[in-house]
Amino acid sequence: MTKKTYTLTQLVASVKNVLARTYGEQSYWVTGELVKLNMKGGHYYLELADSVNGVNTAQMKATIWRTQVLALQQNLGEEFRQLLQPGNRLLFRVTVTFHEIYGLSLTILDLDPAFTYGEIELKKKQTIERLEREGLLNVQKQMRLPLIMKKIVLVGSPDTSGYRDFLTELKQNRIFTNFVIQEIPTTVQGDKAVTEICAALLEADTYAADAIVLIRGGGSKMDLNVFNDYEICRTIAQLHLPLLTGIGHETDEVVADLVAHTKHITPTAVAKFLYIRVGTFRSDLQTGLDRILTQALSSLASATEQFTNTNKFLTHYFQNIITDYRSDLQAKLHRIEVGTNEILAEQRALLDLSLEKSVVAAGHWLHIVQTIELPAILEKMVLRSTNLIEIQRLELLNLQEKVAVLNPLKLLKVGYTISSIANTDLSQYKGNFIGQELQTLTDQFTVYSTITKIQK
Amino acid sequence: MELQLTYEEALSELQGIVKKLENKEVKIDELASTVARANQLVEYCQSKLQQTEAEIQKIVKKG
Repeated sequence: MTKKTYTLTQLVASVKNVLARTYGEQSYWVTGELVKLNMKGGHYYLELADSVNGVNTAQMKATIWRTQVLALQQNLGEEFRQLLQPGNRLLFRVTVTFHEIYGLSLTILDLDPAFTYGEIELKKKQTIERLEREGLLNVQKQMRLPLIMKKIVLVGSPDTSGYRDFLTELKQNRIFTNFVIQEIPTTVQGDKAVTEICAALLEADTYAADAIVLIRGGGSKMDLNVFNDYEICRTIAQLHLPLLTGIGHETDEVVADLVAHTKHITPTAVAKFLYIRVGTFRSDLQTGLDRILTQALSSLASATEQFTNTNKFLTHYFQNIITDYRSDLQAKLHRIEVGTNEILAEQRALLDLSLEKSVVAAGHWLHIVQTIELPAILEKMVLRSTNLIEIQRLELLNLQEKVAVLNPLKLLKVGYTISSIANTDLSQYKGNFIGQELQTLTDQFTVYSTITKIQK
Repeated sequence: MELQLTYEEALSELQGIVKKLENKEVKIDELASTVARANQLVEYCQSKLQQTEAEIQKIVKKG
């Protein structure tokens, strides 16, 4: 049995016919991711792909012919170029084309940028949600921004006008220009933008600076889309230095802005913020200084016044006290005088009283002496004297009687005689009696005889 | 005869005379004069006493 065979040309022509019958000139709106883009002779050659849950599910070549490129550029302007960045999801109007030699491909007739923007917004939202989930969204915002940021690390693309604007503003303002700027150049668009920006940020974080500034001059939504990248945002959240952003124009906001410490709409705005902050600080400082000075002067004045018042008061007060003391002293002196006088008067009265008493007592005593004691003594004396005299009288009488009795003459009268030898009484005579002349005295005469014999 | 004697002297002399008389020490010749002296002394003393008494009375009465 012979096999029925076709030439490749026949087969390919058949496929082309089938495809032409099925798809014909019909165009379709198709979404897909731009993977790769080459340009040659004004034509754009694209590599498109699609994926579900990160797994590639379709891949196809596509072409934008030169005439179409020009038309799209006319319609979309600058956006056209930005939309056709690898990684973007795009909505194309295509026709299915089969070429006998080049095979199956899509011919792109039109582009709908709204879809891509929607995609960008969706991605952005997801990134924000993820950052929030991971606790990275507000890390920067919790940092403390230095009052003065003089040492700046600048991350951006030096060739852009925004970059130049930033530097010019910092160096040519009238408030403060003495910034120390460390520049770390990086591309901000294209395939390598994410990696380079992340690396630049990490490098910037190694400097002993006050803040990092990330800038990107104005661009389309697509241009700025790189700053919605999760990796860049995560890197920003993990920086040690506060990050200030100045990305895009007035209305653009990228995720990097949300993650950064402070967001400004343009590079120029960041520069202004920096020098105004210095100026504000300086002015605050001046104001504070002024206030301190004013306060100090006012305090001084008030203290001086207070001192003066106090001084016056004290002077017055002390004078009063002195006066009080003086009058108190005088009162005391007076009291002492009065007291002394009283005591003296009392003593005087006491003395007077004593004197009087003494006089009275003396009088009494004298009276007693005069009226009682003296007469008694006198009487006693008289009595004694009389007694004495009587005793003497009696004694005298006694003596008189004795004399009378003893008077021998009297005895003679009654007949007694007194014998004596040589005028000595016989009783007293001690000599030899014999032959002696004895005198015998009588009342009438004297007998003289010679002793012849003694008989005892 | 005026005696210039105090009472005590007069009395003492009188007592001396009495003692002599008692002891028979008086010589006979002097006997009379001794007794006379004794009498004189007694009188003198009596008068002294009398005088004293009178003076005392006089003083007392004056007071």
